[in-house]
Amino acid sequence: MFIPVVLGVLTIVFITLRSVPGDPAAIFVGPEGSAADRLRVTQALGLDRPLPVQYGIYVWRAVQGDFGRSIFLRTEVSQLIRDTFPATLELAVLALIATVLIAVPLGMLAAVKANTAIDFVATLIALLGVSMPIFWFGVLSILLFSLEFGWLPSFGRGPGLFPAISSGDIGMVGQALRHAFLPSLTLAITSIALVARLVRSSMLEILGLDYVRTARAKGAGERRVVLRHAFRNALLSVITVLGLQFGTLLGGAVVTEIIFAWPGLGRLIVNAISQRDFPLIQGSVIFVAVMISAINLLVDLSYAWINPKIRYV
Amino acid sequence: MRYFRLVLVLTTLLLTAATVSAQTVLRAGLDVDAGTMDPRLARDTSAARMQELVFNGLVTLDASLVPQPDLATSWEFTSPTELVFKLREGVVFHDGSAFDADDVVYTYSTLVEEDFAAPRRSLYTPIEEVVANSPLEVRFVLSQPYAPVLQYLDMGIVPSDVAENLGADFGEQPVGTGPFALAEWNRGATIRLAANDDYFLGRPAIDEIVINIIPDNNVRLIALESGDLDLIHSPVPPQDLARLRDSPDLVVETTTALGYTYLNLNLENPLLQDVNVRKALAHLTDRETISEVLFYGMDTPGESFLLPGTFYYTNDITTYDYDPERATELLAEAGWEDTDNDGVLDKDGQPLSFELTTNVDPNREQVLEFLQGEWAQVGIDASVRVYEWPSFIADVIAGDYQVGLIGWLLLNDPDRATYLQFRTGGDSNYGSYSNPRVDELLDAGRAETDPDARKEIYAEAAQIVTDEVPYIFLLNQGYVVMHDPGLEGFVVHPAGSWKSLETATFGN
Repeated sequence: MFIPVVLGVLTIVFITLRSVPGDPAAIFVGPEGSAADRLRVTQALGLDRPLPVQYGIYVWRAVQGDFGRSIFLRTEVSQLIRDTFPATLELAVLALIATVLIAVPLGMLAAVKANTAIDFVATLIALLGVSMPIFWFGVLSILLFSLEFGWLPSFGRGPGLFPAISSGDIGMVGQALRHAFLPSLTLAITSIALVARLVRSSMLEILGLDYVRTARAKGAGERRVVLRHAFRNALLSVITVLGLQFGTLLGGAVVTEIIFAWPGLGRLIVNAISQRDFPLIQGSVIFVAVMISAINLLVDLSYAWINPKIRYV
Repeated sequence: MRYFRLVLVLTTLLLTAATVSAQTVLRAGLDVDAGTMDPRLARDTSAARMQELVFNGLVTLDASLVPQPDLATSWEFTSPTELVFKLREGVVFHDGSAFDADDVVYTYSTLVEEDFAAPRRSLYTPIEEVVANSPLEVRFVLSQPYAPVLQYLDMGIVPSDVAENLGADFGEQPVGTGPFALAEWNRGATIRLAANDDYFLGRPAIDEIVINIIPDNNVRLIALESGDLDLIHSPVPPQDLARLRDSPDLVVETTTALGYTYLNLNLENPLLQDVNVRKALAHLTDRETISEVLFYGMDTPGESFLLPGTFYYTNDITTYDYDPERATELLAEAGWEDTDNDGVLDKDGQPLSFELTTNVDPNREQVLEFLQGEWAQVGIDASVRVYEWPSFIADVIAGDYQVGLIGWLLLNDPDRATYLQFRTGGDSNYGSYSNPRVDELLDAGRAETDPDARKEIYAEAAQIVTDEVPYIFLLNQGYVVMHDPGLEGFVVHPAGSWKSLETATFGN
């Protein structure tokens, strides 16, 4: 399933880029260039060759791991992805952790205290999370926590959490966390809303099932009923959503990255698109497609581990 | 209890202040990352900033755009087509190697090569040959007299052997003679420059410059206000300029920039071929309101391609002032009437309608919406289409537009502002404007080396172009710098140059 997906993505991106208006040679040459300059650059980039030829060359090189050089950054595409992906991954992982830490307890609480004031508040928070535009929330949080209170940095990744952890420097880790706090929270708000509501409805459904009633009848404490029996079984759908959400977080970090000047892959792709940097766009999109496919595969595989009843033949 | 301790540790980590450093570090913010550090290939504003700090040119343009000695100590035209430079002695590159005439020869020889694909190559094509007369003297041979040449010789000189060896990698591992050397470059995130101990003007007082790439204009400004940055410059949201102009915590300085925003009228469009229609549109364009209300005075009303603050500017250009009554008269004289009473003027069954286009930019969108409303009041049906830059500019270059809102930048010489744009068949003459007298004047202006004579030539051309309205000159762009008061000696420069950081001091 993997290969066809990747090849499909590659083909679609390839054709789309060459079909939509916008010419990298014209952007590269700039407004003071001549038609002759543009033609020369078009030829240098190999964009004047027939489409199937361009496609063939690209696929042939791609399977050997050569994704070409960025037209505008003049660096190898694989190098650029290697430089920026860890930052996006860090943001997505932290946002996922934030989602788990906030949304799961929130959803469980809402389910256990269903139809009470607590449930209402929790649902309201969820609704706000889904309705608030990321851009608005992000800039607002910077205004509040950086400018107004001066608690947190207003932009950037700082030293980066992954490098900081591997260096073992506690001060550096602190710095990295301070930089990551607002961006990961901003990125997570939609996930938090979604997952909280899902946890709530999953739990509610399970809490109404026979075996839960049996557990209660057997005299099990409420805590044990909720955590041991109900939640464990709600876990399956929650994990599915978390896994899919991770893919969304990975791909949807673009706005967050732009606002917080977070040097990630999403921002790289957006800049590449606005310049029609074909090699960079192609390489990055294929990479993201591969990542998301891999994540979905892992999510599928994790089912068997969580629920012994599901086994792949 | 254990949980509480964990929370305490985490909170402390979060609130721990940054480490203190004894060095003078200037933290600056830019909107885009430099595409390359190779001065010959620089095509964005950040690359230009890097060029000013990491390299030196033969000359440097001061704040009045007058060439001053940089790597060259003196120069003279030995003939209308030969320019000889005497070079500064004892200058070294960051790697310790000596600078000499061979580096100048190499830099310009590679620059004009077609296959090198330098974005600004067109400015240097009249350079036929660059020859080293001696290690400290270099001669430029031009194919014809070319007055602007000195304005373009501020480009950074690269070391011939290093650049040749590194090839394409020179853009990532630059070696120059400049006041600062590249210490670290995290693509898309930060650029760290360290002071050059052996700089020929003396080691800069600032030890390190850290440039942070922050794409969002609002966030970049917040970062300055909250103290996370010490220096930013345009682009700045115009409304924030108004708010911060009198702030006691920041130094805010403005000057006129080397660019303007304008409406490009496509003369291939039959409706726009009538000069009276174009004059009417000019009379309907309230540049004062656009400048004051939409741009909060940051950009000033435009009149012609001559930029205020430059030597060539003259107050004497007459323009079509905002006068809707006169516009209505002109349109009526041209035969436009609302014969079918639908609110839109028409003639021979054709409605007077235009598509106004521009790229995605909040200020530009507002300008077009404003004009749409204004023009509708006299019966012009204007529709507005805003779309992304690559598609928009592709359409403009192809001549597939009617009225396009665009701008020109980096106009450090009137030839650069006019030759490609207004000359018949010019590469940037998207709207197909043609006037034989203008062609004559532009050719003359390019060759005329006497500044006063040149000024007269361009003044005449400017008046003709403004009269004939291939462009409606909307706004002359303003340039804004905001910095921490601790930065002293920073010179606000119309081209946005940061070269003054070589002698500036910073202490907070």
